[in-house]
Amino acid sequence: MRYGQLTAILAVTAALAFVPNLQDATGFPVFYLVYAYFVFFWIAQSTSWNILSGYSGYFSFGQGAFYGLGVYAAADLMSREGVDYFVTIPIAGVLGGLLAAGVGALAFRLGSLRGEIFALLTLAVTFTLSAIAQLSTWVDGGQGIPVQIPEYPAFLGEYQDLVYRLGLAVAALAVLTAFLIQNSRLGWGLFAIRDEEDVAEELGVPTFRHKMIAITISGFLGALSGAVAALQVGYLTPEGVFNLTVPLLVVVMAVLGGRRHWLGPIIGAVVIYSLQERLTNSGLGDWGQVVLGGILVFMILFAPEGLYERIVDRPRRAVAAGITLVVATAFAGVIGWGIATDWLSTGLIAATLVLLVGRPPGHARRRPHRELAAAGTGGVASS
Amino acid sequence: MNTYVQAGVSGVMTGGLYAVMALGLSLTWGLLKVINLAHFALILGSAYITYQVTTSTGADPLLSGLIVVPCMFAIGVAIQWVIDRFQVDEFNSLLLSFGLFIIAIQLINNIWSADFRQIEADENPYATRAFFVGSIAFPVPQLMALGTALALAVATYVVLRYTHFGRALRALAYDREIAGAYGVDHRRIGMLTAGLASAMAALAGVLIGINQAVFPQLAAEWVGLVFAVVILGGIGNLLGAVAAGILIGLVYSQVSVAWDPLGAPLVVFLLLILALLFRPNGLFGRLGS
Repeated sequence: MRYGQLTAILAVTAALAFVPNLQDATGFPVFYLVYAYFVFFWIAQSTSWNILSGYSGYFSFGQGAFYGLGVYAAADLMSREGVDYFVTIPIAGVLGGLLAAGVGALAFRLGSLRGEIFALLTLAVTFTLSAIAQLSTWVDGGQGIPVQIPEYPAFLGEYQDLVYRLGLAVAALAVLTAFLIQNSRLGWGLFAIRDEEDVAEELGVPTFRHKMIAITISGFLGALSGAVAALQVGYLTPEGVFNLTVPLLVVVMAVLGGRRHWLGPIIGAVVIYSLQERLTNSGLGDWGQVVLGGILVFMILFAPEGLYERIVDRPRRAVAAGITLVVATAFAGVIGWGIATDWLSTGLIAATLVLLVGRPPGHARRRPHRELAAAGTGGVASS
Repeated sequence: MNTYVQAGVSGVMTGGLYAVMALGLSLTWGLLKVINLAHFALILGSAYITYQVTTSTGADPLLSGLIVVPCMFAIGVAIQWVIDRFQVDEFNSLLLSFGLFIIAIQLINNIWSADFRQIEADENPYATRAFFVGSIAFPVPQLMALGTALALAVATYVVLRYTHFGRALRALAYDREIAGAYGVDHRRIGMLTAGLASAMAALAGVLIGINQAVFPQLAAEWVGLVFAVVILGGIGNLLGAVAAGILIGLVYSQVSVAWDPLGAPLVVFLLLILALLFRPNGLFGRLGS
């Protein structure tokens, strides 16, 4: 166990938990807390996706379903049944876990084509939930439902502080889970499934059980984070919740950051969210999806391993990227380009570009494996 | 009673439209092992180009096929070239085509806006025409879709079965290395197949443009239904796809009439899940099985 990393996760979480107190003391704009909440939200979602799809190699479009189930469970239980908001959060999580387990139980029993069928099944589940939400008057009924601000004990502070801390708690839980999985037998088993499932099975990895655990955790975390997001959404509609935006963003975040390490989705979430905010603020919102799709295509073709591995593989380039981050952020700040989040996004984008230029040394190392697979000794033979 | 018969007839016809959309997808998935989400964007793009060409020039909408079919063929070839050149594996090819899909839909949205677009009735000689048998209407545009689906499926079946190209392609799908050892060039055949699949997407787009109003979100709505058609028909089995398209169209229309149009996708997906559980190779068997 890497206790250093574990301590770092806990320490960063604890430090971030005090930021709202700092805001009370110094009075910086509440906007930054909202901004940070959204970063936490996307860290939780992309980490949830990565535990399943990044670690095990099973591509899921189902993130929108888990997220949407969480949002609707919290909103409906709160507004229609009068359940206390804090009780709805774990209920939403459990429902997400159950839905995920159901999908897994169905899809992972298939022998051949399991990966492709799994991807399409998760997509079908998202659309099915959307149809149910529109049909059922209890869930939504096609009218959309408003989410009121729930009552909560006074010691939790201002409303935005509450949302911030809840978002942080879920993100920390997700990251901690991803970290623990990665450093356990479960993690090794999932990585083996991703690399060569049939061989892993032969060598005694309980592939079905591992995949079931991974998808259940992923669904639980996705819905948990959705339940917290209900506070920030305000007004729910089936089309607004069950669309392709959530799956797209989590995929781009995890692919950009790196799918083989728990830090990958965090890096991706921070960079992509700030980039997207930047585009929206610059009036380029119409091009946001084009940019996201473009990043996805670029990464898959030129850097499928993601930023995290680039940082680790090339320490000197990583230092250069770090310096770029600081210099570009400071530069944007000095010339007064927008507000602090804009300075940061400028720095992040510049640093990302520095990392992405050129061919990484790790590239040559992975090639032989792929050619082996293409030569019929590996993956292709199973299809 | 008559409502159900009429709904059944138009369901079968709409099923033909699903089938045309599913053919190219089934072909590349079954034979090249590539799930091409961009296929839906190509269909939608072709439908918009059909709309634009017809509206701007007043020409017969079918003539726009002369533009979109070669264009989409070229795009399909290009995508396959990229997948081959960068050795993109199956998982990543899904991600890649997802990225292309998102880009294309947003571009369509930026060019033509999110509003509904439909070819004006007086420029569309097919839209309002229908044959009548008794009181049951057979709309011409949907008949064209069904006819196209059948013709394409039969033609592909013949090509796959009796031509050198078809035999080479099947050999490639069966065992790439051995096929290569016998002189089958997987790059060329792969690009040609992807191009043909995209040309089928172009034809589907022209038919969609003639048939209905288009809007950017339409592509996402197709994804679930069309994949249900591909899987139920048996992946790579084009005649199966036509049969499954008709079946799903029929189920969809009957559920819409008897219950609620919103419930129809629900029933279709339940059907798909049952089929996956009990007939994982599709109702009509997969190619080569």
